[in-house]
This record gives sequence, C-alpha cells and structure tokens, in this order.
Amino acid sequence: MSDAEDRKLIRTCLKGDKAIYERLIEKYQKPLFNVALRITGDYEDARDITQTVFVNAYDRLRSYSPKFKFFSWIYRMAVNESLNVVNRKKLTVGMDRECVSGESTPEDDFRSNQSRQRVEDAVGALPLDYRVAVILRYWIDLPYRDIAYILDIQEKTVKSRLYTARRMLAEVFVKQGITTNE
Amino acid sequence: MSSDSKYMEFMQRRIDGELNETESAELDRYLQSNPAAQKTFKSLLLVSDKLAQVGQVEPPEDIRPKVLATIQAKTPVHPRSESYITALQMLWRRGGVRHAASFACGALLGLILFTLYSHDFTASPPDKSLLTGTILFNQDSAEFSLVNQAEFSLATTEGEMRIKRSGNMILAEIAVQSSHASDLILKSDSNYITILGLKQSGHPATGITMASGRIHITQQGQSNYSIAYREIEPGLSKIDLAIYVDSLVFTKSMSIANSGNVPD
Repeated sequence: MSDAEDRKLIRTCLKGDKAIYERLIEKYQKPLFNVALRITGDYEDARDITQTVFVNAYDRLRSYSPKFKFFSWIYRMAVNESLNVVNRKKLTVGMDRECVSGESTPEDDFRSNQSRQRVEDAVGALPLDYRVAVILRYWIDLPYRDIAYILDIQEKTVKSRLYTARRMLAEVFVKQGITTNE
Repeated sequence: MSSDSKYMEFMQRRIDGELNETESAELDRYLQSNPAAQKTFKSLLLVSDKLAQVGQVEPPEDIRPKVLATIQAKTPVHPRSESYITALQMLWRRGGVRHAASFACGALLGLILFTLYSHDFTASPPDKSLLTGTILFNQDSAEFSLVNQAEFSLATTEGEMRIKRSGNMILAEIAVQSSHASDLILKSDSNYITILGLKQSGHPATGITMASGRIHITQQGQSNYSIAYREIEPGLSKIDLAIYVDSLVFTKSMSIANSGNVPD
C-alpha cells in the first residue's frame, strides 16, 4: 500500500467510515510495535504504546497534513510516546530492560535466538539517541530523510548518530566475540 | 578533515551505499594500503550485517481489536455527507434562504453572547470555555508571551493557564482548584508535545500519570503545576493548551506570529 493509498484511506475515514481505519492498523501495527519494543525494551509497554498511538492518531486525523507521509507522522508519535515511557521510568524506578511478561509465544520467540539477543542487548545498551537512530534505520528500514523528520533533527545529525552507533557497536562486538559465523 | 576521519566517513557511506565510483575506488586504495583500516571496515560491515539480520517481532493479536473497539465507541472523526453538503450549497444559492440564515445566525450569536456575559460561566455542566489568544514571538529574545491569559471560573472549578518559551523548552504554568480529576494537555500543530518534567506545589495531588502531552491528575483542592515540554516542531505555529475537568473543557488555542513585539 503506497502513501497515496494511505491518504485515500484517511480521507475515507474522515468521512465517517471508522472501519477503514482497520487497514491502517493492519499495515502499521507491526513496525509501530517494534519501534516501541526496541526503544522501551518492554513487551507490555510496547503493546500499550502501540494501542495509544493508534487511538491518538485516529483522534487527530483531522490535523494530519498530507504533505507528510502518514507513516512518518505516526512513527513520530510512537517514538515520542516510547521516549516518554523510557524517561518516566528513569524518573521513577529506573530503566528495566528485562522483559517481564505473562505472554509466552511471541516474547519467547523474541528471546529465543541467542545471537540475535546479544545484538539486541548491545543496541539496547546504546545511549537513547543512538539507539533510536539504529532502530529506525535497521529495524524499521527508514531512509535518513524520514528519520530526520521523525526525530525532528537534521539529516546530517541522523547520519552522525548512526555512524557513532556503528562504531560503538563494533567495539562491543569485538569485546563480546560476536563474529560473522554466529 | 583528517585523512583518517575522511576515510572513516567513506566507510560509513559505503555501508549506506552512498559512495560514488571515484570515492569508492579511493577508499579501496586506502584500505589495501592500510590493514588497520581494513579491520575497522570489516568490523563496521559486521555490525551492519548483524543489525540487518535482526527481524521484527510479531505484535500481540489483541492490539487491533482493542484499538477498533476504542474508536468505535467514539464519535466519528469528521462525520460528513457529501450529498448533504451539496444540498446545503444549493439551498444557500437561493436569496431568501440566505437572508433568513443570516438573520438566524445573528440572533443565535446574540443569544450566545448574552448567555456568556450574563451568567458568567455558572451554567450547569457541561460548559465550555474557549479562549483564543496570540503568542507573539520576539525573535531577538526568543520568548513567547501571551496577549491573553486563560482564566476560568466555575462553581466547583477555577484556575488559570500561562505558557512561555525558554530556550528549546515550552513551559506551562497551570493553577487549578477543583475537587474533580483533571487532565492537563498541551498539543502543537500536529502532535502532542513531549513532557520533560512536572513540578507540583500546593495541595498534594494524587494519581499523577503522564503520557504524551497529557498529565492526568486525581486531586482534591488547589495545586500549581509547572510543566516543561520539549519543543518538537521547528515550525511550530499553534499550541493548544487544555484542561479537562470532569466533563468540562477549558481550552486556549494560541497561534504564534513569526515576528512581532512582545506587548508590555
């Protein structure tokens, strides 16, 4: 589904057809959930954030400007909401990167691959700004221009953060013996 | 730029597929003559490969039904019937209808103004106070100032809101006295504004929860709040500050002029 199709769905939704919003949820729930999960490191938080973002986006559809891509607009909400959750946890009990969840299947899958887990943990240990840049670039597969819009920073700053993050990760990989063979 | 940092940037750009042929050939020559740089490049490639191998996690299955149930319970975002609007437009073209409608609008406006000024917001809930002001932005001092402050008063709730800019932050000062739960909400043109911190003084509030741009407070008595928000919109031109108290809403919409003098 292209961005033009997104805009068409939004127009239909604004005319009162709520059911059409389901197609936007279907399309974006996985990347949004993953953005929230990677930033917060908490499965339940990610679930709540994803739901909140979709509901808030629906409430604010009228203020959506078609000059921006819908996914950039909604990812921006997800990133901000996730950063709020992380900052709030820092203020209260500190960031807990261990997933404590009653869920079994999806989270167990998430945790099952040890090699992937080590990479995930290394990214999770990055400073927040660098972590978010890596998440959006590699795991959501966004171009620099969209990341710059979502984070409200210049494109060159996105590149700089990503360059630094890769260098930091390279050092961690060496220390942890993460190699191409894993 | 030193030679090392230049080629480090070349390495990063090659990983992103952004090197042109000339730069790529130059990087290859550099790597061939520099084993340490070769090792660095391999380590960066490894990072990129490993990151790309981490797939996405399937979201919980209940997200979609929960979101749909929530929005189904809401009123439509913008209920509108094209045919209905077209019919109204045709009616409007008839002179008599136009005059009658103008008279009716004038009478309605007069009634609204009379109600507002004669009852001083003491009508039974739900009541709504909508104040519109302008923030003038002085580019020299980089400060916002409100032309009109938002104040509200009801039998059970009263308070006031102020907003100003300090560096890259927006500061909202809210004083509210109410026996009801309150939601303090600050929005910009296209998004909620990220909350950086909340300072509360006066009577202790209970049950404070924060989400994007929204602070929910279950409180009794009078409290003052200073809320710091991160300005996320470089081209920010409008801010909505709202307090929801029970079923009442007090809203202040503030547009930002790009230049101008802060009034005395």
